[in-house]
Amino acid sequence: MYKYIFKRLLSLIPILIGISFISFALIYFTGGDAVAVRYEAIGGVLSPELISQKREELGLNRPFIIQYIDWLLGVLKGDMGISYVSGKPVFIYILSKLPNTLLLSATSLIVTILISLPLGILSAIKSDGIFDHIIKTVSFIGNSLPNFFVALVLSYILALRLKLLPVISQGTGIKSLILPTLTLSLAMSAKYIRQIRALVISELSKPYVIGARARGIKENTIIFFNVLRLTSLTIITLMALSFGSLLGGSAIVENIFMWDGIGKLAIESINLRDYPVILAYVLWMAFIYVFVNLLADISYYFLDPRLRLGGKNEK
Amino acid sequence: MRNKKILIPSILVALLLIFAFFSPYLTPYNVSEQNLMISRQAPSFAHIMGTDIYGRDMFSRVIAASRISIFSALAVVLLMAITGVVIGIFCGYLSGIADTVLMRVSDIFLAFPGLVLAIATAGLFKNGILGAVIALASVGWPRYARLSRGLVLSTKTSTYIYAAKLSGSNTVQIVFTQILPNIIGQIIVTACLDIGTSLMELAALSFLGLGATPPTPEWGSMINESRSLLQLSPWITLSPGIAVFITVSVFNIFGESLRDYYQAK
Amino acid sequence: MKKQMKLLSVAIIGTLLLGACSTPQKSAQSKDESAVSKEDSVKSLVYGTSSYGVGMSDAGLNPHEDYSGWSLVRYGVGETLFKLNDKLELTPWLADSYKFIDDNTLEVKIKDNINFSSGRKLDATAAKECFEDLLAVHDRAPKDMKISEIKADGQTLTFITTEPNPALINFLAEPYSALIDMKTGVDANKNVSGTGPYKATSVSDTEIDLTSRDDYWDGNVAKTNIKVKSVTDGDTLTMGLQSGELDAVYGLPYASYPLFENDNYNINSAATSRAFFLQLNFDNDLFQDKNIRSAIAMAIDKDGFVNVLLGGHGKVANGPFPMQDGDSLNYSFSPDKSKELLGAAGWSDSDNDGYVDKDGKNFEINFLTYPGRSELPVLAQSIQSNLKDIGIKVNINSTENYLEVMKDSKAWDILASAMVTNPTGNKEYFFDMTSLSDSPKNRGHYSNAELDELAKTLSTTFDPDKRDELAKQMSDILVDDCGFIFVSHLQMSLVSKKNIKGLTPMPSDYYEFSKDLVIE
Repeated sequence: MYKYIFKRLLSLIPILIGISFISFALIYFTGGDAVAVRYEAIGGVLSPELISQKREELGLNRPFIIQYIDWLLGVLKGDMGISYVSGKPVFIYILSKLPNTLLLSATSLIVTILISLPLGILSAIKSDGIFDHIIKTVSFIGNSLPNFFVALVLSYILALRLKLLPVISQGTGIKSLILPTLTLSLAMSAKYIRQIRALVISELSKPYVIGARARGIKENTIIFFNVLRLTSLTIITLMALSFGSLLGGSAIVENIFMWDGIGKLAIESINLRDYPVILAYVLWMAFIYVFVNLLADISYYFLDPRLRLGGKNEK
Repeated sequence: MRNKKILIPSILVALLLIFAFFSPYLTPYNVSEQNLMISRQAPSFAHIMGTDIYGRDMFSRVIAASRISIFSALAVVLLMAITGVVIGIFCGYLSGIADTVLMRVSDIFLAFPGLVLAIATAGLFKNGILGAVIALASVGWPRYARLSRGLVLSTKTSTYIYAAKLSGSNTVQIVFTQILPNIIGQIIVTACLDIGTSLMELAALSFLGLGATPPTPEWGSMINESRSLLQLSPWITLSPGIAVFITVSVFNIFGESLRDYYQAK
Repeated sequence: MKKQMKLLSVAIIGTLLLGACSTPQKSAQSKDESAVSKEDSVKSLVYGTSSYGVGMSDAGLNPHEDYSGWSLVRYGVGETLFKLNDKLELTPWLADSYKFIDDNTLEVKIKDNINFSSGRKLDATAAKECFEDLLAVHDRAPKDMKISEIKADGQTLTFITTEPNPALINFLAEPYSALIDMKTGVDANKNVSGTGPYKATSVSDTEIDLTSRDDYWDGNVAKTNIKVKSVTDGDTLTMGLQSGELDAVYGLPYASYPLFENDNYNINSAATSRAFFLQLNFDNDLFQDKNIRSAIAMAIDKDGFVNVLLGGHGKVANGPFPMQDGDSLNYSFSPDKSKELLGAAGWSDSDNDGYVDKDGKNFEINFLTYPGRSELPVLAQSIQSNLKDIGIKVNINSTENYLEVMKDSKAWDILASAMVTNPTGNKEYFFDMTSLSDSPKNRGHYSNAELDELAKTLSTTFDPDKRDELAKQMSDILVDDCGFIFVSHLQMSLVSKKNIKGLTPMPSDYYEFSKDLVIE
C-alpha cells in the first residue's frame, strides 16, 4: 500500500515540473511589459530610464530559460518571488488567501453532495415519474445557465430584495459564505443529479440487486447498503474531477461576491499584470488539483477491492 | 423513433447556426446606430428587448452577438477536438516514445484545473476573444487526445485493420480509411456536448473582461458591461443572459440526443 | 473495519492539511474584530471605496511607498505642508508661510501647535527626518523634488534644490509629502502616526479602522469611528449602500446614481482634474492636416457623452484643466462644420456608402483605448457613432494591452485615455508628461515648437500669477491645435446616508475625510 502511494507521488514529479514550465512559458510569452502596464494602470508616470531600471531590478532583462530556472529554484525553496504590485512575498500572500478559497470549494462540494445525492437517487428510484421529470427539467436549466449570471440574479434577489444575506462578504462568516456557495453548488448539482441518477439506475439493474430483491431484502436497504456503497467510488472520482472546475469557477464567483480568496486575487493580478502572482496562482491551483486527485485515487484504491487485491494500479 | 428524437434538436441547431451566420443581416435595426434620445428605453413594440444606454436596439444587439458568441464557441471545440484527435490517433497508432512523451504532455495540461489556465492567459493576448478561444482550446485538447488514443488502441488490434495492413495500405491510409471512421462518432458526440460548456466558459471569460471587450457584440461582455443596470434597466442585462441560456440549452439537448442515438446504435 | 480505518486516516490527514492552512487567517480575523469595540458616545461609519487596495497601489498608510500616501491623506490620518483648495490653488496647511530665498532655496515655516498622533511635536527636525526617508525610499519623489539638502531649525525647514524648481511647493502638497513621525515609523501593517484628525487603529490591505483624535491641532473632531472598506466592485458598492451595510461610498458606477437621488441620501460632487481625452497619432499623415483634426474635434458630442452616457456625472472639458477661465469654445459640437472641413480637406462621400472617401479609399481609423477606466470604452463607442455621422469609419480596440498595441505606430490613430492633469496645482506637469516633443506620454508624437518654448520658460518661472498665465497660453495652443481633444472631466461623487454631513469631495481627489465629518 505505501509502495502504491509512494509510486504515485513519484509519478507526480515530472507532472509538477511540466506544469511549472508550461505556466511560466505561457505567461512569459503572452504577457506584456509588466512595469509599463502597471504604472499606466494607476495613472502614474515613469520616465523611460526609470522603467528600464525597474525592469533590471525585477530581473526581467535576462533570457527566458535563466528566468525560468531561477524562478523554479525559488519555488522549491518556497519563494515564489515578490508581487510587483503589493511588494509582498507571493508565496505567503497566496497562502493567506488560500484557506478562503478552499473553504468555499469545500462547502460547495458538500452542499452539492447534499443536494444531488438524495435528489439523484430519488429520481432514479422513481425514474420516469413526475418527480423525475421535474428534477430533470430543473437540472437541465441549471446546467445551461452561466454561473456568473446566476450569481448576479441570486445576489439581487436574496441579498438586496429579500435582505436575507449580506451583500458584502464580511470576512469568512457563515452568512457571507452562503451566496457564493449556493451559486457554485447549484450549477454543479444540476450536473451531478443526472449523473447520479444514471449511475443508480444502471446499478439497480445489476444481477446482485435483482438477486437481493429476490431474497426479499427491502428496496431501501439495497439502496443504502449496496448501491450507495458501490456508486460512491464513481462519485468520489467525479467530485475530485469537479474540484478542478470548482477552483476555476470560484474565481468568477469570488469576484462577484467579493470573497477574499485566491480567485479574486488572480483576476486582480491579471488586470494589473502582476505576473509573479498570476504564476503562483496557476501553480497553486494545479498543485491542489493534482493533490486532490491523488487523494481520490488513494481512496479509490481502498474502496475498490479489485484494485487492492488484484494489485492492478492502472488508471 | 430514435431518429425522430434526434431530428428536432438537429433542426434547432441547424437553424441556430444559420441564424447566427446570417445574423448581421437579420437585425431589425442597425446594431451600432446610436440615438441618445431613446437611451435605456424599456421593452416596447418597437424595441422588444428595449434599448441600451446608447439607445441601440437590444434585440438587434443580442442577435448580432450570436455570431461571435456561437462561432467562437464552435472554434474552441473544433480547435481542441482536431488538435486532440490528431495527436491522439498519432499516439495510439504509433505507440513508442512519441506516444509516451505526448501523453505525458497531455497529463500536464490535464493537471490544470478547469478555467484556471484560461483565466491566467486569456487576458494577456492582444485580441481579447481570440485569446480566450486559444486559452480554452489549449486546456481542452488533452481530453480529446486521451479519448481518441483509447479508441484507436481498442480498434487497432481488430481484424479489419490487420487485413488492411496485409493488403498493403500505408499508415496514413489506414488511419483515414479504417480508424477515423470508426471512432469519429464518439468524438463528435463529445464535441457536441462540449459546445454548450465552451460557450458558457467564453461568456464567463468575457464577463471577467478577459475575452471580448465592448463594442464587440458578445453576450458575456454585454452582461458585464450592463451589470450595474440590473436594477434600473434589467432588460439590458437579462436579454443577453437569456440568449446564452437558450443557446446553451439547444446545444445541450442536441448533444444529449446525439449521445443517446450513438449509444443505442 | 481495517479498510474504514485507513479511509478515516486519509480523511483526517486531509482535514489537518486544510486546517493547517487556515490558522493564520483566523488570527488576523479576530484582530480586526477587536478593533471595532464601540463606546457609547462614539458614532460609527462604514465607508466603502473602490479606490483603496493593492490593486490601486495605495494599500497601507505609508506615504513613502507607491501611492499609499493618497490613502493616508484621503482618510484624514496624514496632512501635507500645503493643501489644494477648491480651485486647485495651493494654500498653506501644516505650513504657516513659505518663501523662495533664491532660485534653489525654499524656506517653509511650520505651524507651532501641531502634534503627531504619537504625541511628538511636529517641528522642522521631525519634518526633515520624514523628507529624508521619503527621498531615500520613494520612487517618484526624488525626481519630482530635486532636493539636494534639507535643513531644520526650530520650526523653519529649508529645502535646497539641485536646480531651480518652482514646482517644489506643489510637490509638498502631493500626498507622498505627508508628514509622519519617523520615530514611531511604519509598523508591520503599514500604519503610521500622522497629524490628521483621525488615527488608524488597524490597517490591512482591504480595511482601515479609524478613530477620531481628541488632540487634533485644527479644532474639534466629532467622536467617530470609521471603517474604510475596500470594495472593488461597483455593483457591490451600490447594493451595500442600499442594504445599509455601507453608510457612505466612493466609486459608484454611473448607472447607480439614480437609485440614490432621493431624500434618503446625500450626493456630494466636485469636478476633478482627471481628464478623458484623445491623442491623435501624428505618425499618420492624415492628421498632419489641421482641417481633419478640427473636423474630428467638432464632431464629438461631449454633451451627449457627459449628460446621457455618464448620467450627468461629469463635466464637459474644453481644455486639460477643469474650471478654466474663459473657456475657448472654438470647437463646439457641430457635425455640419465638421463635414465642411472634411470637404475642404478633399474628403467626400463619392460612392454613397455612408463614409467619406478620397482617391477611392474610405476614411477609416483605428481607435485605441482600455477598459480599466470604465468611462473609456463608453467614450469610444460614443465617438464611433459621432464620427460615423460625419462619414468616418472607426474601428475600436479596447484592451488592457494597449501599450503593446501602440508599439506598432500603424496600429492606432487615436488613443483615448484618462489622466489627472493637475494633481498638485502645478499645471506644468500635464504638459511635461504629454504634449512636449520629448514627453513620456506623448503617444502620438505631437510636436509644437511654440509649446516647447513656453514650457521652458514655465519651468523656471517662480511667480504664481505668471505661471498661471503661461499655463493658460499653453493650454490654449494645445486646444487650438487639436492634436489633443479634451472630452470631459471626472466628477468625483461621495454618496452617503442622509445623516452623514461634511463628507465633501474636493477637485483634487486627495481629500475625503476631514474634521468636518459629522454623523447626526
